[in-house]
Amino acid sequence: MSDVAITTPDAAHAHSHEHAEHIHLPDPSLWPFLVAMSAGIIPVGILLLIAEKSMGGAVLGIGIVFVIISALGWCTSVIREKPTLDSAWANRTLSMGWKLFLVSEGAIFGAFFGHLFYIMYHWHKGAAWPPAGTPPISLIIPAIGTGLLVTSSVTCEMAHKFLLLGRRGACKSMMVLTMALGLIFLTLQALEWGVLGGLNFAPHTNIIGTLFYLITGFHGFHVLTGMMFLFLVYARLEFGSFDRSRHFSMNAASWYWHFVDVIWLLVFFTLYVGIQPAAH
Amino acid sequence: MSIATPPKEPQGGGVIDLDVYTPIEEPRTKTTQHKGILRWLTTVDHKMIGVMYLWFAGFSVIFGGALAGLIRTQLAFPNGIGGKPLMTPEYFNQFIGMHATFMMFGFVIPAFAGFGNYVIPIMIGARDMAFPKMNAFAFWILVPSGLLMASSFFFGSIPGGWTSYAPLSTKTYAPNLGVDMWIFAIHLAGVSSILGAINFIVTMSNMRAPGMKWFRMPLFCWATLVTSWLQLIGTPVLAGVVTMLLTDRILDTGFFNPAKGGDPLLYQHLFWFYSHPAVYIMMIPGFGMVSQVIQTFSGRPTFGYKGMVYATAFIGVVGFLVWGHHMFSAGMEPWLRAYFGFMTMLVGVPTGVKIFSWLATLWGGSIRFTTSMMFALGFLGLFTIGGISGVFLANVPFDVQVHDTYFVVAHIHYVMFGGAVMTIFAALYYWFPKMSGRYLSERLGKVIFWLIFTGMNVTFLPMHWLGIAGMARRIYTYRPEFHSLNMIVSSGYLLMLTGGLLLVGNVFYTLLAKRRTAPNDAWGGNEVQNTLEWMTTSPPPAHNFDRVPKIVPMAYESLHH
Ligand code: HEM
Ligand SMILES: [Cu+2]
Repeated sequence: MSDVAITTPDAAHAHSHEHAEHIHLPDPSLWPFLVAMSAGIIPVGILLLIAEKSMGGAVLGIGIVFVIISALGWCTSVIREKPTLDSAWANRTLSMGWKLFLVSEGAIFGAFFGHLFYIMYHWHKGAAWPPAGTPPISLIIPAIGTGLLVTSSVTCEMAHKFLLLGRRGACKSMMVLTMALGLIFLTLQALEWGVLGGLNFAPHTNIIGTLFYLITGFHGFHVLTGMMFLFLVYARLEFGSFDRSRHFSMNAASWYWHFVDVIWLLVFFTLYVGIQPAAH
Repeated sequence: MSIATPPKEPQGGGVIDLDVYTPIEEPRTKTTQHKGILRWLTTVDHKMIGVMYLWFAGFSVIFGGALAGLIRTQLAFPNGIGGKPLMTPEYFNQFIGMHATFMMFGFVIPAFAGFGNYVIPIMIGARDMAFPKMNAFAFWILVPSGLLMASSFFFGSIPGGWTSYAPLSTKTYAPNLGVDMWIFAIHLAGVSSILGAINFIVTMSNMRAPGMKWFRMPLFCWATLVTSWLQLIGTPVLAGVVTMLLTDRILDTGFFNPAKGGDPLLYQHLFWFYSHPAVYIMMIPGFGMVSQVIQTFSGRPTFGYKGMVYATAFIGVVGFLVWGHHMFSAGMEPWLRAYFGFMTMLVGVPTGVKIFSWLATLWGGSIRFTTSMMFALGFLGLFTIGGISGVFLANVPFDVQVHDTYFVVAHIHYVMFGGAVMTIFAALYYWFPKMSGRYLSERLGKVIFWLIFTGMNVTFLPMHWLGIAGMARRIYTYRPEFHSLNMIVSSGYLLMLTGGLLLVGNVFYTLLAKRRTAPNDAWGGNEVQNTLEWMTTSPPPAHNFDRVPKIVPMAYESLHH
């Protein structure tokens, strides 16, 4: 190997937490195994329900409870071990992982939107649009919802800014405001579902019912998840976690919230606007 | 054969300076280690997780192979033996569907994930994956998935083949619970794929050792990186489409129901939007592994390293734009047919680039015919045949003739068996000494190679003719004139079965009876490709390297840049 450039190895250039003398490897953990096995119980419960077996509900419940317990166990173990990691590096890694996860979430919505666009594009010329059985779906409620969610994205961002400024009180108020806006949004959504359901409009009515309920429902589920996430972050704020440089879960929760907001804009401008009679 | 000449361009790896590295007797790491089974259940070590993926793949391939045996028995005796039918047509279709599902989702993808998990962190000089716990979770979630998939047999599983097209899979035509079980199994496997993909992307982005620039990563890393992006974007769409199928089945929604304004064709669109990229998910890591094997055993760095990287990325991108070639005969606008046909043929170009690059690497190399290399060379030939039949199929008029015949089955198996599976065997022989410290028998290995290679061709080559002559796939019987060719096909299965059983025996014998003899550089000559996994012990310590390796450029690399 004559054409080899030799330099002195310099482990200090490595991630700063790694040195030859002290190697940090993550501790073994049973939590991933437990969460996976509990997650495996959930489909069994649903399958039993589909097969109309009486214990289905119980099995499903057990699965969900097990998943929640073991996931919480996993989270606490992570929070406890985190300080050993180099925080700038850990932040970068976690952010990237989380953003990639959001990409895949977007792709799931992509499948549903793809379905919607295909149906809209391929609708027979001259055939009634929206198809029979679809009641008029007002744009007013979703427009208010849009306003609420956009505002909540702003308040969420402000919460983050306040934390960076060290104003924890203001930060917490903004978090509460964000969650409240989300809650109003969900309430409106539930009201709308109730009204439409009263008009005998259901997922099985026609393809519009299917797409409408599945897309808004899946989105609503994400709003709910986002709120729980925000709440966990809020709770940790109350307990005094996070400082200016170390608040990854706050970032993650707010990205998630913005993501849910962006998806909603798509829902509003394609689904709601698209199924208006005039639009076709 | 000439002696390897210094490469003209930078290669993956560069030069790795590890002079302070000494293999250590006792790990200096201070982690609590459990014993026995708990050690495996709690591990977050990428190497142990990789090994578990490989065991999972091993079980699946045995199961899937047994199903193939049932399929071939039926097709050898379509009228039964002594007038007694062997199985019902319904069972036959289930076997077909489950064979494919287990081979793809249970064998090929987990096997690639297994090798990737084991080797990639080491190749880039990292101590572990970026998210070790999530890595363990991604593996473990495969277990309930596999159990659901296997037990769906008792509930009729999927009657319509692995694609489970609507309406064959809707409540009307498939009221059995097996389809729902299959759907949930796909969901869980999808979670595994997505989390695994995130982990690989972040690991390669953030965990590379100092000096390990993007364009110094070994080709297997690049291959897994591209694959991970395909998984990240494609798998959720599959999850979405099977969810739609599920709600159509249990909530009576109208996604694929024309009576409600839905469209069954959309199932195919969404399904293939995932499943065409999925066929590359099941091939690209194999490309990467073969590149490593060919470099090692021809004593030359891969010809045109950057070209290989770009070709792989190009295949990945275009892979998302060609799904319609599975639907030429299902009905679509003529201009779309032309578009999908054209784009599909376009994929042939980067594929050709890769094949020529491997050939150029071999050219003038001093080739060592190890078992691993034989499998890699076998891959080259067989995959080329599969690629050519693929280009045939990309021609709309031709495809309309042979769609859903055994010609497509022949294509699938030349690319997936001749391609993916051969690369997995090549990688198994190649990295086995690294992972276990023991060599698999080379003498037996060659016998196994020839059995599998010959058996593979005897089985799948005649399928081209059968398909062109009009034998339909997924039917338990056929016209009498196809019988003799089908007997040949089934006898090929027996050859492969013998090879497979010998391989299983060899693996167990080696693990149980042989002593650890493999040195760091188990195959010798690593100075050519300079990948890091050969610079640590076989098997590596828990923390892979005592010092984080630092990768410095080769002299000529700086000359040429
Ligand atoms: C040059 C590259 C390739 C081209 C042009 C090509 C083209 C095609 C076309 C047009 C079809 C549709 C045939 C039909 O159903 O009528 C097809 C089917 C298929 N191809 Fe390829 N292909 C290529 C490479 C691959 C690779 C690398 C794999 C996987 C490793 C693969 C796996 C499959 C599978 C599994 C099917 C059948 C799916 C099914 O219907 O069950 N192909 N290919
Ligand atoms: Cu395809």
